[in-house]
Amino acid sequence: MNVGFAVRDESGVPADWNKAITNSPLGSIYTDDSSTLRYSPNDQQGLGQTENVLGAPTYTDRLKKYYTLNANFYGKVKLPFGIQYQVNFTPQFQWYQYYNHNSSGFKGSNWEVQGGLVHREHSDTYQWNIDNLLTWNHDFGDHHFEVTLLQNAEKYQFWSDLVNNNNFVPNDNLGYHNIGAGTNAVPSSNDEYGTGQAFMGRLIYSYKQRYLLTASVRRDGYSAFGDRYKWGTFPAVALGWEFTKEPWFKTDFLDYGKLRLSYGINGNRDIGRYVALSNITTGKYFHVGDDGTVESVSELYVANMANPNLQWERTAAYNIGLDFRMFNGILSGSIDAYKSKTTNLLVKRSLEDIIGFDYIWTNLGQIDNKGLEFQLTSQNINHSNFSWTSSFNFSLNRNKIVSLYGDKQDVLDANGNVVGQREPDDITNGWFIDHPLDAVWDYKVLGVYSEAEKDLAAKYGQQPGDFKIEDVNGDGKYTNDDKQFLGYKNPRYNLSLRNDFTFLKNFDFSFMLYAKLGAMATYNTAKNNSGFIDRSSYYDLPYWTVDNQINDYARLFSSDGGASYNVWRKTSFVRLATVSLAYSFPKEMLKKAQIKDLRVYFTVRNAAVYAPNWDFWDPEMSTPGPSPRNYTLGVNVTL
Amino acid sequence: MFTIHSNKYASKALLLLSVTWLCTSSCKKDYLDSKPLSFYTPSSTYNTAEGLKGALVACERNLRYNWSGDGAPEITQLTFSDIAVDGTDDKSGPAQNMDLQITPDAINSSNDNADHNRIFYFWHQGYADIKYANTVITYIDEPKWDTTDQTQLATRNDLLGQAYFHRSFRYYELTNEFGDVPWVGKLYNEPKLDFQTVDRTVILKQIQSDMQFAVKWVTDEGKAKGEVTKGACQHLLAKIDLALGDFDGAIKAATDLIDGGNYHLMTERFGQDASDGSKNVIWDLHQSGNKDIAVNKEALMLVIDKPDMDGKFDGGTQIMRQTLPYLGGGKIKTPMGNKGLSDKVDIPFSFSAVTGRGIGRCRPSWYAEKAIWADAGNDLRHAPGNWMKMEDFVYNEPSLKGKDPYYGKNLQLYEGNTILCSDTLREWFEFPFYKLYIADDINTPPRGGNGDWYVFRLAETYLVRAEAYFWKGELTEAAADINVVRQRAKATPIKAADVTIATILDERARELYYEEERKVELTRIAYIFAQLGKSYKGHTYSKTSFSTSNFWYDRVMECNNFYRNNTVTPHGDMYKISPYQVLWPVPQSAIDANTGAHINQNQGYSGAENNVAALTSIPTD
Repeated sequence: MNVGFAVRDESGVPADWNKAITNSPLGSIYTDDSSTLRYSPNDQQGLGQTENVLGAPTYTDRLKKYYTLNANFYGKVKLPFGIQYQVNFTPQFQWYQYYNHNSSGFKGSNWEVQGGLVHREHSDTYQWNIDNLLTWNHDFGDHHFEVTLLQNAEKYQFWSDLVNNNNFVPNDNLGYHNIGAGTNAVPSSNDEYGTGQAFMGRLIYSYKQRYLLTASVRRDGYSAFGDRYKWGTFPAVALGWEFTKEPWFKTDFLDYGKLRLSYGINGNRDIGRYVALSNITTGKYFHVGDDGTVESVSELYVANMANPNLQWERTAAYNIGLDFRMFNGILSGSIDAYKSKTTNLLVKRSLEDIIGFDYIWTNLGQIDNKGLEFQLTSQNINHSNFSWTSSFNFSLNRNKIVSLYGDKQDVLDANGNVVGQREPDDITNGWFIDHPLDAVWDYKVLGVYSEAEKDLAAKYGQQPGDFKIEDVNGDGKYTNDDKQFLGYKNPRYNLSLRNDFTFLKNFDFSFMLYAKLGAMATYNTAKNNSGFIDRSSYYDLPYWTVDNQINDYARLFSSDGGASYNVWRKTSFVRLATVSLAYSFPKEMLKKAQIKDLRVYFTVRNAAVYAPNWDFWDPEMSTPGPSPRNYTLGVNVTL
Repeated sequence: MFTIHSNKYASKALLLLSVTWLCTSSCKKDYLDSKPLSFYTPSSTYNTAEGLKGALVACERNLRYNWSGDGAPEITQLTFSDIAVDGTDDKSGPAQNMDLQITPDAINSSNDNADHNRIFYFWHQGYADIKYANTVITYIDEPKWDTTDQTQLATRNDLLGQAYFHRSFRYYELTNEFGDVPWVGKLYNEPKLDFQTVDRTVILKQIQSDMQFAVKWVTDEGKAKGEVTKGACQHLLAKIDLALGDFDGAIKAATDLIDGGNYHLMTERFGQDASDGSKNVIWDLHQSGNKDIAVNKEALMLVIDKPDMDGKFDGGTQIMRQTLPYLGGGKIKTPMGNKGLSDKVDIPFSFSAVTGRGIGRCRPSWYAEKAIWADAGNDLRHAPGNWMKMEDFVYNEPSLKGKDPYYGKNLQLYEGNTILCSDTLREWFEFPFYKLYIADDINTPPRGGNGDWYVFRLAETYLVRAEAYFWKGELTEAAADINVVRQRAKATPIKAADVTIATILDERARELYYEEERKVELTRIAYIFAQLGKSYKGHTYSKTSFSTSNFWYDRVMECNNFYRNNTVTPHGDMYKISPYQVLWPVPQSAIDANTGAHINQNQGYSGAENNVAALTSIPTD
């Protein structure tokens, strides 16, 4: 039996980065008494984004804690014929508290006008898993058998309730401790329930530890799927051949080699518990009677479309792999290549507006994936006074939409004759047949209109200094015909390299680099037309002027003209993720002080990033803002 | 042989026991059933009259969006008309150069906000509310009515009639915004990709017949404010009749309403300020506390918004922020050349604390601000106290105190020949304060709090009937109806001989500013001109050249000086509008998504070359 208890405290109130950049560094953050915060250090009022960045952290009192209790009970029983029975029971509890008070003491803010705001939220989660396992191992000479049978059940239960209130009488001095003192309580609650079940059988057979066969079949059930489609069956088979164990295999350089081949179907159920159902959304509205009483009434509307046919996503994958070790362990690694076909992909499909539903959770036709993974570790130098180990990883994945909903459209030639059929793209969701899910399909920014291109710019309703968008068919308008596949949102190649050095016996030095190459992200900041740069602070970024006709940033307040486009930039980067130097004191020295181990280390995390095409915060962050660099100076002592 | 590898037999035994119990409970057949705990499902909701009413409440609540929030959709109705332009003149994005910015591609959800325009809202929300109404229409017989029982039949048909009202209201908007549009007549339970465009007249005829049903069954009695009344149905029917050129129908529907006895114009003082002698009935009519009270017999249909209650519109109506001049922009100087105004709330002479902080988003044209008031006389709608001029404000910048003799003095636009405001587009214009003020207890400086708004008001019914008489050439009756509205406001009556479509539109502008959906009404009238082949100021219109020559465009150019003069904003954007914009572009996303059939684009926009014939009957699938 194992039990773990943890408390996570997230009570800190972070400063809003967007406010920090718009606050004027020239205005005072305090009023004349030098201690009360001004609502805004910028003189102009009413612009919420120039609100004093210290306001929210100063005038918010927050308690936000997660308490988790994880346990694992297990018991093993030996049955006749070498059969072993094991039961695992893993209950998990989580309690969550989120109490927040936005004080009316923040003068000049909406919190003051609204008489203080309080949010009190509490939730309990209880989920458990139970596994009943039967295993049987046996050797018949060179034949080794392992059989496993599993029965599993799980349950998830969640209860939450929250109350919002404001306008506290006589005041909000009691913070979130007396929510009843507000005059505007809005209570709500949300409870959830979900169940799953599984059966699995697996056979492992090996001959002389040289040939390996694993065959298994799983049957999984999940409550979130449509009534007739709760269950999915997923078989898998894997073969292994440790060819270096063959008597005929004799080489000097290869110490170990194993070839792996597998085929299997995996299921995915990563969806919300109730997405297959059409849920009625409620909200309050008012009816006023003849006597003037305001009656609170509830709207009841259907937000999402039900899908009684929602079912398991299935991925059938082939994998071929090779593990190796060479030159007495100096080089080791593995290579894997895979190809998979995912059918019934679980997606939240946006629907066109006409039907009135925003979306439906559904199973999407077919996506093909292929990929390559490579891992290599080398012992470059191994001397008593100096050793150097390198480890390198490389991976790539390519996916392609093969089919969406199965409907077909005629393909016409220039004369309007039907020359074939193809499945239409789903532009609403940005899914295109024969393209990956993360394809970027947008107008292409060619650069910035120069002063010399004034007339050309005017043709598109723009001016020099605005971004020049490619008009592919030259019809003077921006339509779908002008959109192009510009790249991909996810990295095309992932690489990492770690080096470990030991020198002068007691020193360790290591660094880790990783790179993600080929992804694109939007960088509309280059348009220089967001925010109120005439009234509030903003980044000091390049901008086009007549005297400085640059090609990668537009003029201040540039116009989008008639195209709604994004500026896409490559985010490819190499990051020096960690650098670490450590010194371990010699054991002889420590003996006298009765210390077993003493180690001093200095580590820098996120030491450097190199991104040649990306010049706006961290290329890996989805929302712009600084990513911290951590310096750690530490001591490890073992007594 | 049976061994337990533990020295704690008791706890292990207990564990096994509990495990066995869990196992058996999980092996039940219904173990994997989905159990929704905190939300309702359609089958368990729409099987009672109460559930169906809840669906109607969704429609009522969504109608409130039309006039609420930052960049409220109503502003787009006004900027595509003779009344106003988007005055946000410090950035790229607001719809000013329509030729450039109003494209099928640019009308999308990410541009559907205060910084652009709300055309996409009218498309998206229109069809969303049609779905909510269709929920009632599709499930209407789920409650298993006994239709031989007259009371039950009346309840059923009243609910159905209210649903028809909401669906018809949105189709009335859509057909006068986008022309021919797809028809959705029921609730679908699976994705559909083969919607087809239906001829505008066919849709109007369908909603005319739906509203005839509604007028017959929906009651005024027993309806709370916020619900659909018979009066609202009669009013909408009159407007649909007008759109179809059925002027006799319009006159009949309007007359039934006016003479029905349940409504009348408010001509006497009433409500919260009734005893305040400095106010008047026009003031009373538009105070947010007076719209939903029983004594107000002019309100036909309201959207309700109450401060400090669950269900209020988040952030408030923000109406002053949208419609008042941007006094705090720093472009207004004293005659001494100093910055004249501060938008702080905690200073002497704070305007923000009194009228709220406007940003001049909805900037009235010269026509709406000045021309229609040229002969205002005693018109209460333009009387001091109700109507506000820039000169009513005073220089309040605190740093002026003791340094500038104009501190605390009234604003002036000129000192000799020198103009003192460098942005008169956004920062200098007059406005109907009596209508545009809603107290705000959630924003500082005030932006416009939560308050009710008129959807339909009997004054418009008179003007709808006046228009029907006008089209029939019965100018005496038309003038009489216009004068009912004018006389209530103490304005001088007009003569029958002077009645033109312009007279009616002028009166609508005076009476219904920021209430009527002006673009919808102008496009409706443009269709009538084209159908009748009538002329306006020397122009004659036809259906075939609708996208290149129409009344809507000529009216906008005649009255909206910003579009007519191609005014350039301080930001460098030009006000520009073209005849084909009489109809808005169908969002490209709708055409793209509908892969099984073709949805037509309006003439003048890219993609219209692929149009196919619109359906000439209501599709039944």
